Amino acid sequence: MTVLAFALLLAGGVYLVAMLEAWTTTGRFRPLAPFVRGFALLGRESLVPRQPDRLFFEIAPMLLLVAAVLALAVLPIAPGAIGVDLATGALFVNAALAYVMVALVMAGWGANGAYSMIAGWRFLGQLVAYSMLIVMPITAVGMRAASLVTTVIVTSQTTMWNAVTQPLGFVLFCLAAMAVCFLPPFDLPVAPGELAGGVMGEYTGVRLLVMRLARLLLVLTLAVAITVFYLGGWLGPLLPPWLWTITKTLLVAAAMLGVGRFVPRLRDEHLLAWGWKIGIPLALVNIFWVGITLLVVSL
Amino acid sequence: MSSGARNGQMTWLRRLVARAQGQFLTAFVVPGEEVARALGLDFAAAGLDVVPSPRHAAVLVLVGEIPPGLARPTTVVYAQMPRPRAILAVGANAPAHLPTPDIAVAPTQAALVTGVQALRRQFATGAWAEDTVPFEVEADADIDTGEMHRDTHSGMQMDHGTLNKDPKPSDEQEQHGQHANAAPHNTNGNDHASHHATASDKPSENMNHGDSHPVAPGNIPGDVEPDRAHAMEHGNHGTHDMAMGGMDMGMSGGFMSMIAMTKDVPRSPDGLPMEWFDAPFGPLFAGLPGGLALTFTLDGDTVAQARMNTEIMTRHLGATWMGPVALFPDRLARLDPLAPVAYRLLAWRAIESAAGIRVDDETARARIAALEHARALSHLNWLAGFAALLGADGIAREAARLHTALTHAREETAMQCATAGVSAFARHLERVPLLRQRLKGVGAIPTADAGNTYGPIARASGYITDTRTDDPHARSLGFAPIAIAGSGGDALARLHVRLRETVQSLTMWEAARMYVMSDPLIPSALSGMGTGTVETPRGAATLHVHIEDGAVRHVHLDVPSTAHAKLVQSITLQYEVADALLGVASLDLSPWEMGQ
Repeated sequence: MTVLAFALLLAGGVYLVAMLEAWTTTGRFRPLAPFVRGFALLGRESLVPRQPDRLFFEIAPMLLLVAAVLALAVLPIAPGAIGVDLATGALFVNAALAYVMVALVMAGWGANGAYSMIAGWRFLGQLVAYSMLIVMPITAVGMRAASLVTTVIVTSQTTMWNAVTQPLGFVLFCLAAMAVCFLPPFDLPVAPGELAGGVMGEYTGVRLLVMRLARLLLVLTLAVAITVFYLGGWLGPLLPPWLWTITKTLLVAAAMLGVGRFVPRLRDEHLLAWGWKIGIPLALVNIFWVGITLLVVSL
Repeated sequence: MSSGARNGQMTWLRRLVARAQGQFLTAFVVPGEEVARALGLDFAAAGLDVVPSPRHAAVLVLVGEIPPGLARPTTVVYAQMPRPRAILAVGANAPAHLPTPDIAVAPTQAALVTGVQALRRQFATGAWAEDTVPFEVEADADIDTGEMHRDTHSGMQMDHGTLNKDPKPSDEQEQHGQHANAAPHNTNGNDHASHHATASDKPSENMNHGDSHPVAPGNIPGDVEPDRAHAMEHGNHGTHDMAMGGMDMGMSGGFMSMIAMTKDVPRSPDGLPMEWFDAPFGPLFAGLPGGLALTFTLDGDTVAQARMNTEIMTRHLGATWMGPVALFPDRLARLDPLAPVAYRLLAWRAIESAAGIRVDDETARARIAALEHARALSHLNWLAGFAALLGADGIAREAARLHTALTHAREETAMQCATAGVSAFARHLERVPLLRQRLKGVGAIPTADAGNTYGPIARASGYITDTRTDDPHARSLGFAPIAIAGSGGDALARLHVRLRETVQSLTMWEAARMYVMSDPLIPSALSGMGTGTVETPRGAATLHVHIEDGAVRHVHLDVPSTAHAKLVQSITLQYEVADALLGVASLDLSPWEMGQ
């Protein structure tokens, strides 16, 4: 029963994110568009490129999907509504997201094409740039909650959201989250103009459908993570808790999908330089700041 | 859709899927979206979703004239598209070796909309069919279909028999099941035909096809294999001066040390040895103008060598220019679908110089209005493509929207609205975050080369070279040369020059568009030599004509893109691939001009 509920929740969430994505790119709100696109891809041939690394090529879309589902499983939707309430939940999110990179590198390599290979390796560089900016803000969040249990992190924000008490960490985490989902302007591994679809460029039909689904799920996961870690999760007046989580998640997802549309894609070199020279020092300042506030104000 | 449908019966589920496919049409555009925009077509409004990879496309859209050199790349692109797929010709000739277009319409928006509706119906009813025909990319474009076709088949069968693994029946989707018994010319219509039919659009299981021989782009090995065959879309790992050895993408086992592996690899300037490989970025690459046949040899993701085939768009137009003077302007205008107005004007000016005619003020101003309008459109068209390459989808769409609005504006209010929109957009772009950081230093032209450039590229390097400077009419309409000095002539400076020119051109157009152009009076028995110069959107083009007894006898044309193509080397070598592409795109090369 819980499994079914979880699956339904996933499907519903992905559908809403898909609709948001179509809306941010085309500006039109069409409720049926995700189904139409899904069906259309389902009926298209699923080609395998020449001389693929078949194992990598086949596994990559599934792995991306699995990574996103795993990370989502430890995030609470409402009190008690959580896939697995791990003692190290917040850390587990980070661990699961590491497989996003593995999946993309495999997809890039497996397809045996120059564009996709460059795109795959690009994401390895991107991971080096963003991964510390996922972990370090989570550290600060965990400090305030004095726990890595995600439900405790939510309840620790009863007085004040983490987005307010740790604005620096919030901004850094949001940017890093966009980099994980390779959304513009961090879409280096798909790079529609530069690399003709990059890691996704050689996938067609069902495999492409799985890949796109996985990406949407990844956006959903990161939006839930931002909600849980920084926006007080299910906390909120009047509305039932699950509705609060969903509302906040969708707003975050819409922002993540829409914000990069008018900004040029970053250069990988800038991404690395800014991630390490600016991002990590700021993340340290954030940890320090949270430590001070916890000692002095004890919010 | 006989060559584009999947093989099988229409079941109710497939019917449902087919209807969805009709509703969601993704398109790959040949030669490129910029040609479609120049013709005033708006694919998004017609319901086509343009995608950068043929793998993601359901419709191959052919727009305008397809030069013979693009026939083969187009065929390969078609073969790379997954079925069901269709061909939509929009005012286009069908290139050789491609199936007849499923729908052919005139190059107008209304016709396009009708065509897309017809396509939707075709998909809904014909996505699956039992009489599908396999499609093959001919090994040699000169070979006609027919007998040779059959030979190819038998050849393929042998290959399959000896080399290929037995296809697993369960894996039907990747097999050639859908071509089963399909080929009418296939004499042995037995079950064998099914997976023998092609190595064509089914790259899939041909794992063992001779991949060890290095493949130079454009030099396709004998067997009929689209993907490998052309790397134009999907770069292969055709090697560069090295044996594939153990580096063959992990396909062969065995361990080689890094030192052994990179022993014979050419040394990169950064001292980091990597596998060099050729990656074609064109002629049908979504990020660059269609027909720009660029190939990079990549060292990791750095460009180690760059080559460009400027011949691919050749249409031998020179021969068609000879003949009656009266037909010459239209014939010359055909040279570049991206700048027909400028070339028609160029022909008029050259002829008038030969005839010694001086045009009246009103016509001169009306011509300036037309030219400046075309310049603004050309720059917006460029910006739409450039922003797409940049990854700023919102900017690309806005540029394309303004381009469409400006193209179709007929009433005074619509024109003013479009002009105001462009000015606001240009101001907005100055403030877009990260744009400066992204483009600064990209595609910077060495000072030594900057002297040989024209148009916006020269002006972005600080050279005031503009043939309009000497034109009193242009000056009276508000023209002042726009140049940016001290910027190092990079992509950012070129963007700014083009943006300011767009705004200025529209101001001039506003001031002059009430003038009416009278047709040039060309004496029928004209003889003489004439020279004309026009500042085209890409720079000064100069035309020398020799006319005898009212017929064009000799033509010499200098176009800016030919000079600019020489810059490609210096602005790509040792750049990261994305920067190299941006550098090339910022030159606004017209492959049509280069192939004259």
